[in-house]
Amino acid sequence: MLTALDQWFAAEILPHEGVLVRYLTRVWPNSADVLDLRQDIYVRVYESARSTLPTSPKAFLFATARNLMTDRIRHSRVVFIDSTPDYESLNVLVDEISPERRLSARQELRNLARAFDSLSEKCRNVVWLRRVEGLSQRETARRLELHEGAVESQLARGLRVLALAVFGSADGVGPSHERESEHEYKHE
Amino acid sequence: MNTSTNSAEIEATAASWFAKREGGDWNAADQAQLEAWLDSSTAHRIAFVRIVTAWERSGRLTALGAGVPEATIPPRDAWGFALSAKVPPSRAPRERGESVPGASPAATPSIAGIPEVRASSRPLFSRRMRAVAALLVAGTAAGAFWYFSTHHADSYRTQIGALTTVPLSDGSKVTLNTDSQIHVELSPTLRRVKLDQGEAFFEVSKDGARPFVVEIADKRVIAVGTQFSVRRENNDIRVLVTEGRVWIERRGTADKAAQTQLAAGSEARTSQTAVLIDRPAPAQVEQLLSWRTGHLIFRDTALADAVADFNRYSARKIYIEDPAIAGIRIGGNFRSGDADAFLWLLHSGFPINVEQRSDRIILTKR
Repeated sequence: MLTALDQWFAAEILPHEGVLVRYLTRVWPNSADVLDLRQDIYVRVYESARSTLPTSPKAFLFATARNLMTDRIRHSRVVFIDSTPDYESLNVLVDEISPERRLSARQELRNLARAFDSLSEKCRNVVWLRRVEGLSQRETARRLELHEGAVESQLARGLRVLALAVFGSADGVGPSHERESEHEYKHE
Repeated sequence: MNTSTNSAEIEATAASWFAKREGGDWNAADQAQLEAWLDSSTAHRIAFVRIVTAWERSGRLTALGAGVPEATIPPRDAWGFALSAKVPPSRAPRERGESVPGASPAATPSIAGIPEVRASSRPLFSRRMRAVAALLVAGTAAGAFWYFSTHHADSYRTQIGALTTVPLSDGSKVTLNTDSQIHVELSPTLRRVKLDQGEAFFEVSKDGARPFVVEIADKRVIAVGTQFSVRRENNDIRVLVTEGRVWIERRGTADKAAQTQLAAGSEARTSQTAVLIDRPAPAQVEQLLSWRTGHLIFRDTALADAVADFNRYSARKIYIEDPAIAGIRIGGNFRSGDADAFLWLLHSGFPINVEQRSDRIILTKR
């Protein structure tokens, strides 16, 4: 179902999400915009990768982030941040602000388990049966005495929370609603 | 390109599509609809790719199922490694009773092959980290920072524009802002720091037997285990407490009534005769402490105030020669050491002329 480009994006860009979100949160004056910024940055990276894949995806991601913020500033009266125009010092800056965390398998499991435990009871049960026990939606619904539609919507909700843990932005910003869990899984 | 649509909504829609596709009643019409949705915007496609990837990666969770009997959903925090202590209270106890048959601490599984992380290993780790940090500090002594070590007393100083964190031997940490100087004396009964000039943030390790005292001219800020910043302006101080509480007193007054108690989230400013206490909003606290990461944050700040802040970090001062521009309001986050970026943005975003001289920078109206 995923195209080669989708897979490239998942492998080369998404792993930097945590660092990106922390960077955006740090430099952009309004943290409420961060999710939208992230989306627009992803779109730009993806669309330009259609013609040529960048040789250094991380540097390209952050250069795109910077360009996009600069464009937004030109259209508003917001003044902002350090302007360090060349890519190299940009990377230094990014790493300095928010050192990349390479997660070991164990840390990744810890983050996931923490996010999993932060789900509401119903949502947590659905995710367990669907993802860990591998039950079908119908079987999960029967076991938990829920409608299938409820299983489906709980799974969708749970996945969004797990995605934040997977991509390491759990301590950044997430969807502003349904964020019952945001305080529970901070990085140590 | 789709920028008008809310990113959180797109993400929710992508997750719903994914859950529906995994649901079992998926047919060709659904598939066609999903593809149309994906093709209608790159943002849709990316949100979907993100959710698919999250689902794949969350397969790691199956490791938690090892050793758990089928049809048993383990309770929260039952994973044999310490998660955060905060676990949300169960929102649906009735459901829990039904869906967690036979779950008890005794049945709690532990995960094969995953070493436990115990809280007791932490202090050792952080002690080692402090040792490393101390070495790093010593290594940079040739730079902006002098380090005089005697047996019990140490002086630390930062140059203009520098920022440094000093680990103390009792486990406390002091972060020194630009152009600041402290003198530290640790004895078995007292931890004493003189703030000779500038600004410092203290993270005090708890030690009930040894109060931590910061002295500024005739004032003392007293803590046991807490976090707070002190900024000295001549003989007056601004104290901001972020954790725990501190007491402020004038030296020579043993009188309890002359002490001011300051709780977390409060800021005190002293003047010759009085202490003014304020509870700044969280955004303001962030602004007041942003120097610790080398940033200056302005929110609707007058240009004159922003310039005064930048001038603390640079020997080459900025002067506003035209009162007409002093009141211009600006906002944004800057690197405190990067006045050039600030000036460039002033020049390009506002009717301000920037004149660079060898010893100073002059701002005038354009």
